[in-house]
Amino acid sequence: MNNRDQEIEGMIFEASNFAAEDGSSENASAKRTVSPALSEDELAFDRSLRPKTLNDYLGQAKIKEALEILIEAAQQRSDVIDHILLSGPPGLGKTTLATVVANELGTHIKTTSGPAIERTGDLAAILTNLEEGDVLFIDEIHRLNRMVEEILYPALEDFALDIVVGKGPAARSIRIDLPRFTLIGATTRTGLLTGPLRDRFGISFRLDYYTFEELAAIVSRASDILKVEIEKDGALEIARRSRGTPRLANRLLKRVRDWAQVRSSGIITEDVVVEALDFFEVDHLGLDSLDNKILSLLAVQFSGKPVGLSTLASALSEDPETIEDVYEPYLMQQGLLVRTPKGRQATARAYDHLGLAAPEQG
Amino acid sequence: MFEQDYLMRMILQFTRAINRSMLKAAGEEDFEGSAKLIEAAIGDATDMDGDVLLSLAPESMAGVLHVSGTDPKIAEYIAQSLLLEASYLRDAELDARADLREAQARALAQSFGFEIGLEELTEEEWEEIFLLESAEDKENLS
Repeated sequence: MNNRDQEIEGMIFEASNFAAEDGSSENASAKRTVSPALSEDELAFDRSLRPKTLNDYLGQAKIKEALEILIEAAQQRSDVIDHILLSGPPGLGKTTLATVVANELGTHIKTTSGPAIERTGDLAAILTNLEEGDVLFIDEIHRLNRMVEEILYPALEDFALDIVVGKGPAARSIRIDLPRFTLIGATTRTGLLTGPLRDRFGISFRLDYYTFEELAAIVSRASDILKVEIEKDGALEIARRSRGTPRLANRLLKRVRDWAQVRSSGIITEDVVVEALDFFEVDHLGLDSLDNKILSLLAVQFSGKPVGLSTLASALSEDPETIEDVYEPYLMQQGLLVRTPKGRQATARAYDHLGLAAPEQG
Repeated sequence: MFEQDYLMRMILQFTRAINRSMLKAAGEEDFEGSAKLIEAAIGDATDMDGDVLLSLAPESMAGVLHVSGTDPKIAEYIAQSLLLEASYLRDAELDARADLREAQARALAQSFGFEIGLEELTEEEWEEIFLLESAEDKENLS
């Protein structure tokens, strides 16, 4: 690898970490045990556990099957596969899936992220350094700036790069050919993608949260790689507390492994998982102390009345955006919190979870 | 005639920018700043967004300059400037970018069919390449 390649790889590596560094809500999220965001020191660990082929990839059965068909058809035609958009919450395996696709195609993958491509020149550099059939993976593609996005359109449609020569009325555009490639874009917010960009993807997949069984299988696979002995019930208990998110399951496995090594025989049983995760304040629903504090504030301090976002944020000494983006989605998904026109409210399930009697209706 | 004048003016502008970059490098020892001056000069000479042009892979850059009808003489000046910039970038310990500039210079030479030397040149040799003194003279004449 020469220095130029290293520079592009460097830009690409920085790009893949950019999202975690940007935005207070994501920073806040990255510090939590139950956060789906990936912190920098977890990168190597996370990568070592990632599946390399579709066979090894667990869960998302429908998407896997569709990808198998796409890949096989493209290989039979000796063609590149259509550009793919992957959407879904963080930690569900979008980046992993992109890498798996590249591996299955037997091509290279160049990984970058929307906010890291600041200038049109950055994208031009990446595009002109691609090789025939390569996969270009752009994480957080909804955060591409509009100027850069404009450069991407002809690249996606015609595998061409348009460069403007001259200024004013004398300006003209010259076009250079690019190698045929496949763009895989990943986003946590499909709604923020512009229509023209969304329309240029040939196929779009939405990744769903994983079932407990799927997560337990992921935990067992990771345990094999880490050479940690784990019982089936132990894996299932980790799965139950992982918020449907593989990245979180792997992180909890790491915490439990440490606990089992120091406080137990090293074998991960259901009891060991319960003790370890209770110690690390991740309860049986996968809620951490902050989630429970939010529920407790709504149910106890505010007596079950609707609470405005800014009031809640002040009470928690947190940023309103962080509450909206990081804490609330899972609480709502679990039916523990509802957003009403008057504010946030704890549900009957939240009272039950806290061991409190729900207030009378009306 | 008009074309010759235009070409001469472009070369003069170019050499002036190179001269400024050399002064900046020698006087202030601001090697990165000198490199930026050269990049701006290349952008002006090609009438393109220098940022985009210089980000391109070497063969793509050469292709763009060909398709845009860049005069071979200007292309040669650009190639030499890229080599000079590479030397600044090495002094600024920006080796990856220096490698890219050298590769771009080489791709231009191959594409336009001229030769460039990649050996270390002295300041005097660079001055000779860019004909700084005669450029000043020609500017005075014009």
